[in-house]
Amino acid sequence: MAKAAKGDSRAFALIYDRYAGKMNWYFLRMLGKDAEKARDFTQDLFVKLAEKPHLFDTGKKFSTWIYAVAHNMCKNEYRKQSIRHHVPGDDIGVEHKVSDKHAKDPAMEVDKSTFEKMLEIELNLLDENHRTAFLLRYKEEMSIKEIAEIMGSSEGTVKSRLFYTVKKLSEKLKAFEYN
Amino acid sequence: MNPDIEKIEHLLMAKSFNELSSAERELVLAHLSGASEYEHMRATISRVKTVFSAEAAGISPELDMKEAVLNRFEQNKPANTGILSKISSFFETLFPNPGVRFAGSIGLVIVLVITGIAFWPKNEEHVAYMKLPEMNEQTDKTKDSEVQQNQVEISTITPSKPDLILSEIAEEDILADQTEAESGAFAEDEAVEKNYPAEVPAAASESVPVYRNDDGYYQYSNTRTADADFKRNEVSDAVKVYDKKASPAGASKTKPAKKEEVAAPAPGKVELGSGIAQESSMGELKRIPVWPGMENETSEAYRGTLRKLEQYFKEELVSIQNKGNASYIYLKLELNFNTKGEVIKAKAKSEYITSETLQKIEKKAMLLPAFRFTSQSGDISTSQVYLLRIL
Repeated sequence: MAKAAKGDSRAFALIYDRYAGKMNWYFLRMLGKDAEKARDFTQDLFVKLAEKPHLFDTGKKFSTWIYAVAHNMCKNEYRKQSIRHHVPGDDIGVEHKVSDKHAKDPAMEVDKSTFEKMLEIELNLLDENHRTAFLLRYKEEMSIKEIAEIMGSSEGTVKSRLFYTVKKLSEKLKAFEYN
Repeated sequence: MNPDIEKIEHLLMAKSFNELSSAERELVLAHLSGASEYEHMRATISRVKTVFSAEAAGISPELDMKEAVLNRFEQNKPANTGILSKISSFFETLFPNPGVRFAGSIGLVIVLVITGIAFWPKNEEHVAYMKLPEMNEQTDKTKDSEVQQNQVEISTITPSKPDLILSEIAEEDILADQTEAESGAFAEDEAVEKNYPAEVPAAASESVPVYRNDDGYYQYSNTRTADADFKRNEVSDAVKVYDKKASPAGASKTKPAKKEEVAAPAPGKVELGSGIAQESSMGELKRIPVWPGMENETSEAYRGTLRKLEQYFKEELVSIQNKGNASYIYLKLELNFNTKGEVIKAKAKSEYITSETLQKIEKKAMLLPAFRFTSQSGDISTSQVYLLRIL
């Protein structure tokens, strides 16, 4: 990124190739699977980078920095639209009824796609801070320290958030485990 | 409870409950209800990772978006010419480590300022002295003749002037002001403000919104950050700083800084003790150190900042002569940049402070190095620089 900040187009293109897909996925997950919005956010992020590459702080690891920017974009979006509890697709209440039914009916076949669907629902029900920490840890495999930097929180807070998120998700999803 | 998720997580990835040692089981059971919960969590992490990997693999960078952002990048390429750019590159080569480069930059400024003060003329007139050649009774007539010709040699001694800081300010009018100053007139802390309105285009009149939180914090941002987040980030920053460096206030990781110690000042009102946090991101507000990474600023912003710093130091070096027993100076620079990164407005404010006030500051915050507070308002970004220089 330091090269890109000095005007190196190839370096900037490399950054795009390396991070555009990841950012798109992150926004997709953080913004309730709204593909159009995720695309717009990804483009906005890279346009910001293109226009003001000097804003990159070389004292930071680039991946940490770009996720911090993305995290702030999402926070601003949450403030604007209060999408925290938005669940795409079917009505959440209906989904939970299905969930109960699955849980009470061991004979019902639970496949991978059901697990994915329920994971999506449960992730969207999480507070954005818990969701961010969870995604960065289990998708990007970032360290606790990196996640803390991105979120502007202490490492202890991140550890605690992760622990309770995994615990909560496993409770919610245990009925949908598949082989 | 603050479970060490990294340890438990490592176990979840590596071992089934049956494979855990007794110590590991003890750790796990301190936080989980039993083997069943452990195995469910283990399965969840494993499956989630699988799902995420599959999802991410299906998303590839869009080519049309790439083309658009690359075009934008080409349009906004920073110019990389000029002497300051070269100086920047030189420093970058000399000190590849940003931390060392930062220390070097600060050190250079301090040395230049101190040198400027030390050698700046203090009311004394140019001194003329008479150099008498040694008389040698044994000299021949020729030598006597030479001595006669050179018997009185008058030299003018002009105090040294560091080129960077003082080369342009030795005009007579400035020196005249200096000599008119009342010696020892300064007794109280005193604020001085200077504006550079001639450089301000109409667009720069836009102001940056400022929010004052209930507990006295100030935010410079278009979008107000929730009070709760703001406080948390501020305190978190303070803890980070104090964790790394000894605090003059005696704060430490176990004794975090109080919120007053990290509060940012409101524009137009310098509050002593500001500018401590290392780096934080609060909504759209970015607060970052001034010097590290400056080599990556667009060259105009970099040059502009340096120019304004230089200009201000020059003026202060002159005016400080008027301040009698003033020992310290606290500077605040407010720089507005346009979208090209050019400085379009600079406002400088200083406070001459006594050693007593300095002690109060030192109890509150570390003011060196300086910090830059950047906020965005429309097309105008504003940076505020705070410096404390011991004169």
